[in-house]
Order: sequence, then structure tokens, then C-alpha cells
Amino acid sequence: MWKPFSSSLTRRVIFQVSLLATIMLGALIYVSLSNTSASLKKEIQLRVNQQGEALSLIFNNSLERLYFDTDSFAQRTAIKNGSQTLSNQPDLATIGNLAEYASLKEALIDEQSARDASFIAIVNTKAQILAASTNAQTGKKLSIRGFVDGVIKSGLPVKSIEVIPSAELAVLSPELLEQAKVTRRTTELQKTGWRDKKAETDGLFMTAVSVIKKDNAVIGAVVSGILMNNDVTLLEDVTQKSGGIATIYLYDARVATTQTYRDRNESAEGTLASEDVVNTVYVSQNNFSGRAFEVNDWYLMSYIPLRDSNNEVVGSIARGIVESEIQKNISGLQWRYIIVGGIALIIVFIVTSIITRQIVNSLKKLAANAYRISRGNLDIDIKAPERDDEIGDLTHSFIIMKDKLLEYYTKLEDLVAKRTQELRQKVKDLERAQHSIEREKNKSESILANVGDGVLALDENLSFIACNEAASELLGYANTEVIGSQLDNIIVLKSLKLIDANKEYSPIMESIKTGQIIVTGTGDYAIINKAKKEIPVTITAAPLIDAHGVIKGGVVVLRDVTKEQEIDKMKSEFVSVASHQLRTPLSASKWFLEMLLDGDAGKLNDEQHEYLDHTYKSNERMIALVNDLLNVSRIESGTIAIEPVSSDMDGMVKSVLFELTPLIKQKNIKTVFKTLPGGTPKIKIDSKLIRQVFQNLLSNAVKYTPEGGTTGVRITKAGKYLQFEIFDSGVGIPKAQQSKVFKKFFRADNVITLQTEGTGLGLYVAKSVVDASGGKIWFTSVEGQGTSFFFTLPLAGSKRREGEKTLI
Amino acid sequence: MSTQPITVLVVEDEEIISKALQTKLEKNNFSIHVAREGEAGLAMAASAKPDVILVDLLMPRVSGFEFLRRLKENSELKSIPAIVLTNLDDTSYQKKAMDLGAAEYLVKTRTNLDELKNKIHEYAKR
Repeated sequence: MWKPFSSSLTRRVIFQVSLLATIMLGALIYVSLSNTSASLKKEIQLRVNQQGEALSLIFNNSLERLYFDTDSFAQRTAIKNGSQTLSNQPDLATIGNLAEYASLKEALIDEQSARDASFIAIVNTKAQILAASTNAQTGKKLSIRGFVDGVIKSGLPVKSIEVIPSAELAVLSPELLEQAKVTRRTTELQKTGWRDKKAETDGLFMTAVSVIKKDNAVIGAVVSGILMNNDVTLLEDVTQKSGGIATIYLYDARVATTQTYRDRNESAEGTLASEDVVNTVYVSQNNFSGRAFEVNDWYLMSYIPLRDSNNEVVGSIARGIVESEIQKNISGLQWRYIIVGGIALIIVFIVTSIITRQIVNSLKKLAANAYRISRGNLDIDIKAPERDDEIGDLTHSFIIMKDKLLEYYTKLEDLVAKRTQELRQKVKDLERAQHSIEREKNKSESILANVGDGVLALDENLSFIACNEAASELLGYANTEVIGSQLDNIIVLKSLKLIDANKEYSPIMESIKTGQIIVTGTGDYAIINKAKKEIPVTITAAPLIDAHGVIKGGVVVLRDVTKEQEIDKMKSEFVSVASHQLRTPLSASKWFLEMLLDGDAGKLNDEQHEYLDHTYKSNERMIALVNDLLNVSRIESGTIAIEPVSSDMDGMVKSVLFELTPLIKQKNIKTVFKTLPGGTPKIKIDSKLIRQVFQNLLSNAVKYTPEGGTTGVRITKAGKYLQFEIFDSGVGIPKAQQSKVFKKFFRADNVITLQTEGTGLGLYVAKSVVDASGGKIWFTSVEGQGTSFFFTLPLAGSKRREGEKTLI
Repeated sequence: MSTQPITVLVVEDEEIISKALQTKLEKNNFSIHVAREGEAGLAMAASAKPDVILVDLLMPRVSGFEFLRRLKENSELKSIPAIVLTNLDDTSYQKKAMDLGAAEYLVKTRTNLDELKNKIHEYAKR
């Protein structure tokens, strides 16, 4: 179902804006967060470094204090004196019994507790212990790896971080040895260290040594030290103040640290520094600043190496902050960003909703109106826009559009009504036309099927596209054989004409080529059908011409004229026999009339003579008529023989003119004969037949020329032909009748009234002879002025033709 | 003028024709014998020994052609000029008749009696 007023636009706009805002805010948060966390880490690292420095300062302060304290302690007179006494004793093993020893030891113990030192001892110039705050073995050497010896030799007070080996510690104080002990432990990630002792029994000490001088002579030295192993007081002070962890390393082992295992409340003392740290701090002997894995967590660390008096790194102090804490800070930041982003999103959503709803509501109104219009309701009243923005413009345009639409719609309705009416009329006409076409088609089809003549149709490629029953019967080919076949394969023509000038000539091809309708006469052509039987036909060939006047093929109508020919033959025979039969009485009449006119049966008076003369002339005319009829009959039966012999045309013309002399003289007609210069060449023609042509044409010319007129013959050469013109200044042939001139029994209206003799066969015979002789005959005539008959004969002569008959 | 009249044998089946010929020729002092067909004509030619024979072509029983053939086969009669006087005017007939020895081929309707008379005179003199 189609919802006319869907709210999908609102949803879509809000969704898209929100999506966009989310993406942008997300990107913003991501960028600032990553920036922030990076800079935060950097900052924290800096802080850690500072804390490291601070711790180092604190250590130095402690060391400094120890140094000053030790030095001032060594300057004390009592100490000087006591030390001198003890050092002057020959047997150190016994000095413990001396009172000086006891007071000195007391001073040392007081000093140790006052300074919070781990031990204070007095040694002689050989670094042998004279007295100590601890239960040290008197007389044993306290070398601290040559440190003490070096100081005594130089005579200058020195402070340093030193490692006191466990052996010396044991000499110095068995308690201190115990106190310094750190149990080596492995972490999950670090199983072994670079030292594989189970326990650290060496002690890392802040050490200060100051010589005791008496009378400018060195008599011994005060050695004091603060054990750093297991002492987290200082470290806890620091971490409590500024957080993080603080560690002291002896070499790479944690000997004092605030760090504990993460999940059990146990000090991480005895574990080792990570490899990175070892590499930086102990191998390269540099400060380490950065990320390090401490025991079981990642920390941001700052290591500062601790060097002994030989500048050898013996340990380090480290400060650090566990990374997860930083992460915590960062994630707190993240939440803050997300909350701010969420609020921003909600604001964007609300604002977008409000704006979209405002726009969409206006659009909805428009859509509702558009819907009504789409339903064809144009009679709606749309309120003029209250707004001055794009929506207002749209509404305004919409109103204009609606008005225009209404206008067009009204026009369209009129137009549609009109067109519909026209269309109905056209449909009706078409139906009527269709009916009539169908009727015509049926009619045509049944006519074609039932027509007795063979009807065939050809396309432009000369292949058959239609063939009726009669045609297929006539040709001997089945309808299916004919359709699609080529013209030449189906219709084989044989010319039956007397003279076949062009063997290739086909009336069908000619028609398709020229677009003319060609009708052949009876006896012109026969077809050779499939059974090789010769069937005389008449051919009517008509072109198929499309609406543009282009020839698209042709229609051929073949009529079997076998019967007609038989009838013609019978007719000819009948005429022939009848003519012969007629001739007997005619000749008898002729002869008896001759005798009467000659006076053989007695002298005739003028009147009798005149009557008999009329009778005789009528008889002669009858004889001529019979002869002509016979000639026509012969022409039509097609059996005239042509026997070409070399003939003198000039002589022939002269002799025919001579024959006509009586009439010419009688009518006082001027005769003209114009031959070719040097005379007309002899040509091979059937002189008897051609002579007849001259006779017919010239006698007509003389007959129809009024008294005092002119007639004659003009011979010219026209290409390969001789052309003969027989002209007269006679009555002419009426225009309307000119087309019939060469037809049988033609006599022009105007000559019939002249009461001249004539059978109307002369021109027909002339044309037949000229055609048969390979020439052409035609004429020009102006009524009342004269006529010119032209005929041509081939210079090459006529072709011989065998035949039974000749013309009379 | 010879007292002996020119003898003409007319071989013609049509009585009206032979009558016309006989009338005209007898008026001109010809001696006329008439036969109705070829067979009789041949017999008459043998008996009468005519100077000239006029013979039609289309006749019952023995035609003019047959007559000519047999006439020319007859050594006694073959010298007698035989003029064909007929209504058949086809060249083929004419050729055939001339081939068979006809002296002349005349078509009846185109022949005047005076003309014919002159022709007979001509042939009789030879």
C-alpha cells in the first residue's frame, strides 16, 4: 500500500545527520584522546624522570649529610686522641681491654644512633678496625674493595656508594650481614638473572670516609655507612608523597623497593630488573627513561645509575608509575569525552528533528496537495506561503504549477475528448476498411484460385512468391515447387514470332525492368512446361509497384491459348476454304461481266454499260476483300514464308508508282521520289511482300490525297536500317483514331465519308509484313494536312523463314 | 488465219466457270473441250489432242496436280502446254504446279478473259 504522507524523509534526515555527527564526534574524540593519551604519557614520563631526579637528590643529600657528619666526627679531639692511643697499640687483639677503646666505642654507638647510620668504625692507617659501633672484629681489615685504603692514602674525606662484600660485612657486623640479606626471587617472565647466587649477601651502602689527623699526620680514618638493602624508609617517604614506586638496585637486583607483587601483598625485593633496563643502565651505563616491565606490570620508569668511587655502576635508583594507572586516567578522560559527545549528539538530534520537522511539515502539506493533484483533484485551495524561504518559494511555485496544471488539464480534457471522438471515428473507419480489405482479400483469393488463367507473382529478385492452381497446372510444377524458385527455372519461353530479333527478350523481364504492362499476342510465345510440352500462351506481364513507385516485382498471367490457336486455325481454314469457295462465283461473275461489257452479248446502251461497270467494280472489290481476308488469315495462322532475295528498292517503288499512274493522272497528283544519293543499295528482302507494303501505302496515299495534291516516297538511311517515308498531302488521320490505325478493318471516319474503296486491311497487312521482315512501321499525321507513313528494313536483310503460304 | 481453230481443253469441275470460259473462247473461234475432272481430262487430251490445256487444281477424283503429273508422264501429251487456272494462290501450290510442268499459273480472280485469250494464243503458236 502506498502511504501518501510517509515520514521517512524526517527519519532519514535525522538518521543521516545523527550518523554524520556521530562519525565526526567519534573522529574528534578519537583524535583528541589519542593526542591526549600520548601527551599524557609523555608528561607522566617527564614527571617520573623528575621524581627519579628528586629521589637521586634525596639520596645525595643523605650521603652528603653522612659525609659531613663523618668528617666532623673525625675532627673531634676525643676521637683523634682515642684513635691515636688505639692505633699506637702494638697488639690490636688486646685493645678491647683499654679504657680508650670503651669510650671510643661508646662515642661510635652514640654517633651511629644519632646519625641513623648502619655502622661507624675507626680504622688505623692499614685500614684495620680499631673500634666500631657494631660488634666488629677488632684488628680485621675493612677495605671496602680498596676504597678505604685509597682514602687513607690521599688523606681527603670521600663519600661514595659502595658495595661491601659479605665477607667484610661479616667482619664488620654479623647483624648487618643478616640485615643486608636479600633472597633472590624469580618473576613469571624472568626466571634467571646475570648472577645466579641464591641470596644477595653483599650490601649496598652509602659510605663516607674521613681521615683522622693528629699533628698533620694521618693516624686512621672514620668509616661510616648506611645500608640500603631492605631499607624502604626513604623510598616510602617519597612514594607516599608523590605516588608511584621507588626502588634501589644492587646491580640488577631489587634490594629495596616499595613495589609489591600485584596480587599478593609481598615485596618485590630480590627480583631482577628487565633486560632493557640492564642493557641501558648497567651495560651502557646511562639513565633509563621509558616504558619497562617491572616484576609483573608495565611501568613508566626512570632509572638513575649509582656509581662507586671507581665510577663503576654498582646499582641504581628507580622511580616509576604503573601504566594501568595512566590508562585509568585516560579512560576517565574517554568517558568524559563520550558523555560530552553523547550530549552533543542528543542536541544535534533534537535540533535536526526540529528543523527537519519544520521543513518536512511544509513539504508534507505540499505532498498532500501533490497527492490530491495526482488523484486528479485540481480544485484544491493551497494557502499562500507564509514563509519567505526556499520552502515558501517551493510552495509558491507549486501553486503556480497547480494553476497551470489545472489550465492544461482543462485544455487536455477538451483535447482528449476531441481526439477520442476522432479516434473512435478512425477505429470505425479502420474496422470498415479492415472488413472491406478482408472482403477484398477473400474475393481476390477466390478469384485468383478460381481464375482459369495461370497467375504468378515475382519478387524483385525474380523468384516466385505466388502461384495459383491454374498456373501450376499449366507449368506442370507443384505450387510448392514454384514458390521460391527463380523465374528462368519455371517459365521457359519459346518465341513463335516470324522474326525473332532478340532471342533473349522476355516480356516478363521487360515489364519488371521498364515498369510497363506488356501483353503478348496469340501466337507470339509458347511455354515449355515441366513435361517438355510446348503450350502456346499469351503473357500479360505487369510490374508490382509499391507506394513509392519502386518496382518490387511483377505479376504474370499466362493464358493457355491452345484452344484459341486451334480455333484460330480452324477459323483460318474456314476463311481459306470460304474464300476459295467465294472466288469461284466471283471469278465467274467477273468474266461474264467482262463479256457483257465487251459487248459479247450484244451492244449495250450507255446506261446499261454504266450499271454493268458498277457491278464489275463491286465484284472486283469483293475479290480484293476476299484476298485481304485470306491474307489476314494467313498472317494470323503464322505460316507466311519469308524468302529474302536481293531486291532493287528504287525499281520497286517506281514500278508501284507506275501501276498507280492512271489514278494519279486522273486526280492530277504530283508525285515525288527521293532516293539516296547514288541510288538505294540492294537489300535481301521478300520483294513480293515488301512490294505489297508499298502498294498498300502508296495506293492509300494516292486515294486519300485530293486532286492537285502531292504524294511520294523518300528513302533515307537510319543506322543499320533503310527508312522509307510514304507521304501525302491528304486528309490525314484524326488524332482520336491514330492508335487504331494498324488494327484490322480500320478505316478512319473521314475517309469512309469520302466513299473511297478500302477494306481496312491494307495497313494491318503492311505492319504484319514489316514486322515479319525485321523492320518497324509508324506514321505521323495531321488531319487536313497529310500523313507520312514510315517503315524501316534492315540493311542486313530479312531473315529467311520457312512457311506454307505467301500473301496475295 | 489458219482455218484450223485452236483447240483448248478445259479441265474444270465448276460448270459456271467452264461455261464462262467456253462462251468467251468459242466466241473467239477456239474449239473447246470440257472435262469435269482429271481422269476425263486426260482421256480427252489423248483423244482431242488440244493445242492448249486450261486446268483447275481442286477437282474431285483426279486433281489438277495428278492430271499434270500424268500428262507430263505421257510422251504423246507432255508437249501440250497446260495453263493452270485456279483459285489457289499460295506460292507452295504455284511452285508445285510449276514443278509438275505447268506452262503458266493464273489465278482466276486476277485474270481477265482477254488476258487469258491472249495467253492461249501465245501458247498455241509455239
